[in-house]
Amino acid sequence: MKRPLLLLLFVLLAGALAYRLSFHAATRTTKTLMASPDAELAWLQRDFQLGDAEVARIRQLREAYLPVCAGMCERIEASQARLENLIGTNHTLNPELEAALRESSELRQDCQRRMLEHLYAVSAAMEPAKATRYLAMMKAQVAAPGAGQTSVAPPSLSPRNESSPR
Amino acid sequence: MRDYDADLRRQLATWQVAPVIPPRFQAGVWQRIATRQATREASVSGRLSAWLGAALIQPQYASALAALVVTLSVGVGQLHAREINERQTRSLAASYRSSVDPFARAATANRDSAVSR
Repeated sequence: MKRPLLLLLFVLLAGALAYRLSFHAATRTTKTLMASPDAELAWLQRDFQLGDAEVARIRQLREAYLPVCAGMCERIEASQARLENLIGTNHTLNPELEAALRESSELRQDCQRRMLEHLYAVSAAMEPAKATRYLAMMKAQVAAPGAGQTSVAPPSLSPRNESSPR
Repeated sequence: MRDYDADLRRQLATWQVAPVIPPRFQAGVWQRIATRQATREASVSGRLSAWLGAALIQPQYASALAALVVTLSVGVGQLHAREINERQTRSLAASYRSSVDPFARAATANRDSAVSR
């Protein structure tokens, strides 16, 4: 009775090993992608099948845009904080609050314009079909900036721990 | 024949039955049912186990089982990996969109500072 049990155990171990190897082989590319310094750009390259020249141009555009984007992000935060403060401290729509609202609206418009400029520049670095797909993917972000913004913590690549972060 | 029937009828008319149910009769019945069921189940699992033991020591069955288990494991691994890869890709796409959107970045910064507070 011992031998069949040992055989069964061996078969189960072989199954577990096969599962692990199969899982790791199939997730290796994604793992490499996640480990790359600019994972978002690496993802763009893979998803849009971009060539090296296209990626180099997009990287250049991205490196120029990201500090601008960070600056806009700071301005948005400051504007939002000011607006929230004024809304909280006032009980009527006074000129100061109106000015803050106007400033927030102008800032939003400015950010959308700059974002759109960047997206058009990126799409211009791609082949026409890819550019169309890229703009289709990004248009919602320009139309409703900040909308649909979710936590982007990546799911675990370990077969043992597959709990979703969402 | 008729006289005989009449005798029988008379006898039957005087016949009285006074059944006495033994103590714990019902419990005993259920116990016997349970015992027989357990015996039957034990014999099924015992037979299955014996059959599996006999089959596994035959190389053709053992290798067929190993091939089946390995194939299934590879398939499950691939399905699981595909699910993880898709989730990861969606996550990276969202991350890219957020990276060029100053409003999304501001929202993340606000949320992070709210969490740290």
